[in-house]
Amino acid sequence: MTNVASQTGYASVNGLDMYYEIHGSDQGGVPLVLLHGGFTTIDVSFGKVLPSLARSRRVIAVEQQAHGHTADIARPLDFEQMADDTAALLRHLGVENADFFGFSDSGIIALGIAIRHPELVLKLVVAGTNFNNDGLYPEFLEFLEHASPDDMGRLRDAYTRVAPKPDDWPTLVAKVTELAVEFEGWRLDDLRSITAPTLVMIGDADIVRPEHAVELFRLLSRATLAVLPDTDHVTLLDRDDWLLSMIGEFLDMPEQEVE
Amino acid sequence: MTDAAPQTGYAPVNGLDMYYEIHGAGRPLLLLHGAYMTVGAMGPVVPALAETRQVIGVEFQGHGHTADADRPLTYEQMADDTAALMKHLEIEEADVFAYSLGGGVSLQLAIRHPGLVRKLVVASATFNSGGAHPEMFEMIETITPEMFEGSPWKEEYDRVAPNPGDFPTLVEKLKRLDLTPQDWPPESIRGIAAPTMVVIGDSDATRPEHAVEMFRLLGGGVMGDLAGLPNAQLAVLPATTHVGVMERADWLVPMVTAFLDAPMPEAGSG
Repeated sequence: MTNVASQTGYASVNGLDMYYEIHGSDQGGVPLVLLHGGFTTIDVSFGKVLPSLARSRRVIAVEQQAHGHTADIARPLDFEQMADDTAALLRHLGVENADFFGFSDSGIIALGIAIRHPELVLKLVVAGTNFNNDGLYPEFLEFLEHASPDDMGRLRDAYTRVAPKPDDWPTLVAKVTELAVEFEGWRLDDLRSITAPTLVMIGDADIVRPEHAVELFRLLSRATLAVLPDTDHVTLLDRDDWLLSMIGEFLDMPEQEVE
Repeated sequence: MTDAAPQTGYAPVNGLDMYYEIHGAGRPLLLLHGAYMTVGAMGPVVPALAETRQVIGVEFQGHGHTADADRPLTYEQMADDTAALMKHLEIEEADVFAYSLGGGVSLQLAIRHPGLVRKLVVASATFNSGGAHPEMFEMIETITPEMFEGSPWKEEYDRVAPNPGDFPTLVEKLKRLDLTPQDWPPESIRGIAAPTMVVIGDSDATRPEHAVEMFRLLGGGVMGDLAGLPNAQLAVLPATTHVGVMERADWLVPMVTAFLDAPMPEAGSG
């Protein structure tokens, strides 16, 4: 995969040197912000779909505190903080508003951005995302609680390739695990207040229970729902044909036509 | 339909002359249409599926080329008619793709004639009345034969029906079927052994909660990353209405083809 970014850099936001990449050219349309999954990097989460997404729009991909190229700092990982960091980075880049595509944990961040910075958000895609921990299969939470830095070889290798301090991998694993396990959930009224059209996506064998995805679909005032068959959490972003077609149709639809 | 002319015929089953048409070649796939529809009204999915398998489209009592008979329309009877048609055609076992009304028939086919169904794709269907949005039933009460004038389905009916004057009877019988409370035991769905893919649109007549319930009864609703992928699959198509499901060939055809072409699971797994 040769994903050549047209621009990369770091922005100083909230005490963090936050890494970003810009792909594709500015064609005058709305940029799409990609938010990677927990433990991962831009490339691990979006390597398969990024080139196609960047063909028709400007794509801004970021890496959150302690992830990928962005070094950790002395504070816990926190979904509200990561939403604020992302908003600050976009303001730093002069982005007034954008569409957002958050995968897994970062779908939680995307919802957080819509709740805390609604003026930034035009449309949202959240994939493999829970809005509280009742939405996860209990065995996944149990698995997470016992996750060891040594269990995740593929993710560790991707981290080590790009991280400013590769030895920090165990810290990242500990912080993401705590973040996910301790997540108290977004308030239902805050979710109901989101006015941005939102595409809720899961795999039919995801870490998120299908009932929970239906609940999010119902809570959001302008949502559409996609469940991909024969698809678990890890393979969700490998379903590039369906993802690109569904996301492309959703993002290209004139806003007033979204339910 | 732009493919080579299908092989068509009528099978004498249970006092009915039941119409069928066969497209393509390969492993048989039985196609069960929705209410008021014909095989031809099932849209672009049919020729696409017929490129990789034999598609056997049937038309239920009172629908399309199949004349009405002096009996009500019931899911059980239509399933039995379909089973008898398969025997007439000497099809021992087939995959099934079924939509809406046909979806209900396909569930009864799998319940009443389990040996005939290899794999099942059931789109936009319910197994109890609570599975549909309540406003559906209010809408059904208001249906009149005149409402169909000028619609593609009615034009197709007029073109192929042996007794086009029978359309009001079809409307009356379908309304009676749709307004009769449907209450199939969850155990009957759980007992379906054929690997099944449940499909709806996110704005379908079938509520998404009901599709998830059906998916769970059929063995779905597990975290595949830890438990392995189950034999049941669920597809919810975004920004898609009940009628719109059959227009989503670009998504449906690869989803259904991958599901049907995957190896059969070992007995007892999933």
